Amino acid sequence: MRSIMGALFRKSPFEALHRHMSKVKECCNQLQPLMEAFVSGDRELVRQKIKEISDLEHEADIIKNDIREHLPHRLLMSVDRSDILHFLNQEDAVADSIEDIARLIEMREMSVPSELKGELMELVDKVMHTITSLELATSEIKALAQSSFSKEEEEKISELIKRIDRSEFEADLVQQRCARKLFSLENKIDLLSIVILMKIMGELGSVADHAQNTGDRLRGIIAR
Amino acid sequence: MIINPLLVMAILAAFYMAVNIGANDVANSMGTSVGSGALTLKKAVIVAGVCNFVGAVLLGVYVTDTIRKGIINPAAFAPNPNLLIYGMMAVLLGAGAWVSIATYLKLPVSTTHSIVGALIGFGLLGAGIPGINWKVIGTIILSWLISPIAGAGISYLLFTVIKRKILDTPSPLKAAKRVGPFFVSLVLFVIGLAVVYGVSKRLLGSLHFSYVLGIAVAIAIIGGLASYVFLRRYTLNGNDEYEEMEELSKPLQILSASYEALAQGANDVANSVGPIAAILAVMETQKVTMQVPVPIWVLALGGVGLVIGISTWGYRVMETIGKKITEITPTRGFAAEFGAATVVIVCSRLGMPVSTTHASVGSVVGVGMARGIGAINLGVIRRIGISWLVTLPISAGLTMVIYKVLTALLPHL
Repeated sequence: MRSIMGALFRKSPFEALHRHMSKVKECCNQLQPLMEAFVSGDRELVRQKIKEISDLEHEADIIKNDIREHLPHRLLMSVDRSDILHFLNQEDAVADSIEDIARLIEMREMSVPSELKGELMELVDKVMHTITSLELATSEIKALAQSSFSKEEEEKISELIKRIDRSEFEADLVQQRCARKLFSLENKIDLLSIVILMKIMGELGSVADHAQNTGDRLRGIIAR
Repeated sequence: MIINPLLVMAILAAFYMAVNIGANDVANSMGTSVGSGALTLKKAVIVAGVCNFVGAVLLGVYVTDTIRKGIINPAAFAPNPNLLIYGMMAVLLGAGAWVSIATYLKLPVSTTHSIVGALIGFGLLGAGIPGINWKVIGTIILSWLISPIAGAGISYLLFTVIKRKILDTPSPLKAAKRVGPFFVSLVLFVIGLAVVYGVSKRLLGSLHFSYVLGIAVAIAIIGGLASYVFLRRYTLNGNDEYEEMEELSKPLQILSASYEALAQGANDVANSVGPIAAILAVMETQKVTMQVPVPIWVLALGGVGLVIGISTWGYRVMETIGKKITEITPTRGFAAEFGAATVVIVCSRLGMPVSTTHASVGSVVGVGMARGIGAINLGVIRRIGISWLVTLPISAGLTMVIYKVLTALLPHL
């Protein structure tokens, strides 16, 4: 056989991108139970969730590396190669931040003051909004490629990316409120707890930031 | 005509070449249809077999003429016509040997390039530098460069039209039902034009071109109306709209696949029977001028070889390729196949031997440039270029050696 046609076609990365996102989303879905276990002081459940998050993050890594390996140079793609790689990086950073939160919680046995619980869970909620929109936007990439980047599909995804931006902005506000609340309690809790809670809040904010950056990259992919 | 052992050997060598083309090259052009699911393997074999045969018989004569007398000036052999017979034998054996080696080594060489290289080799040795029609060689090499680029251009434009008119609308499925008949008419028009032209030239004596054009237009209109009725009746299943639109486009891709197979038969048959046509003409007339037209049975012989190649080994290659290119969809496949087929059929009429595979690769890249295909490995182009460059000298060299051996062994008369 001396055919060349088979070698001409490479697997397009779009489906795998969504597979990666689904894994990242699964990882993010553990955030809420983790935080609930944390604020209610259920150490056993916390440990269990941390294990699950770490496993899912690892699985996402495997998909990510697989996509990278199948994107050699000298490919003619309907999207920019570096846009895809950056998109993947940011998406991966989302899962990384979730894992970092888990590690911070694991680091030190401590309890969360009950006054803070409401704000903290609200922050988690807002962060999850960004992830939900991101997942929706990513799931549309396949249709975008199928339509060969039609305006209709582009607008659909653009709208979802705007939603990520809005949720990220709202998460920022809640994060500030949460921090103020924490400092209002500075006489009731020990300094080290404050430091770690601050870090957890920061990391929650990072999840939303990375989701937003991923959305930005998606904009780049659309508008080649 | 006495049965000549030399002629039998030449026919066997030509037949081998045709089988090889059927087994390997046809799969390259049918792969996009098998991969997209427009054709099952069985149907692909039938479409490829029938259309390659028809193309070879009706339209194969132009490139065959170039191979038998356009590249090497036969007048150089007027003092000893037998040398031309040995030379054409050597061409078949040399090109056949190189194609076999390349097939074994899995190098993507073109049978077209091999046969042209072989002709240059024989020409240099047998007729010397002035005996070769360098202008024709130059034009052929130019056509090798232009054909993939032109294929890319046509496919790019066609896919851009599909994108504007169908994909980029609020309802791609509805748009496809509206625009589809025009595409059906377009392909039927070109297929009709090619076939009716071929029939009129080969079987009816020359029909005036306006009649040919009229019949082709009639076929296009009837086909367009038929597809309009069919599409109107089609009701959607409520699945994903893009997927349904692609599903609906499968018959269109079957048409473009037929078109490409027709073009391939018209062009590639010469790679096997071109030298035979030369040998026969010299044997029959004992002159080298080759005024007699290429007999239709010679083209049919090549066509049969193609069909045997397709049905014995080609379907396996098609299966392998089809599995590798599932990324292609009927709309993309249609755009790619139409571009490649148009280039190859125009080149066939102009008597230019081109590589159907290279035209197909160019056309796929064209669709890719219109953002139609997820990922295309451009490394393939480099591999094609390399086998391009090695094919000419190696095929020429092998032919020279074989020609030397033949002329030493066989009587000069």
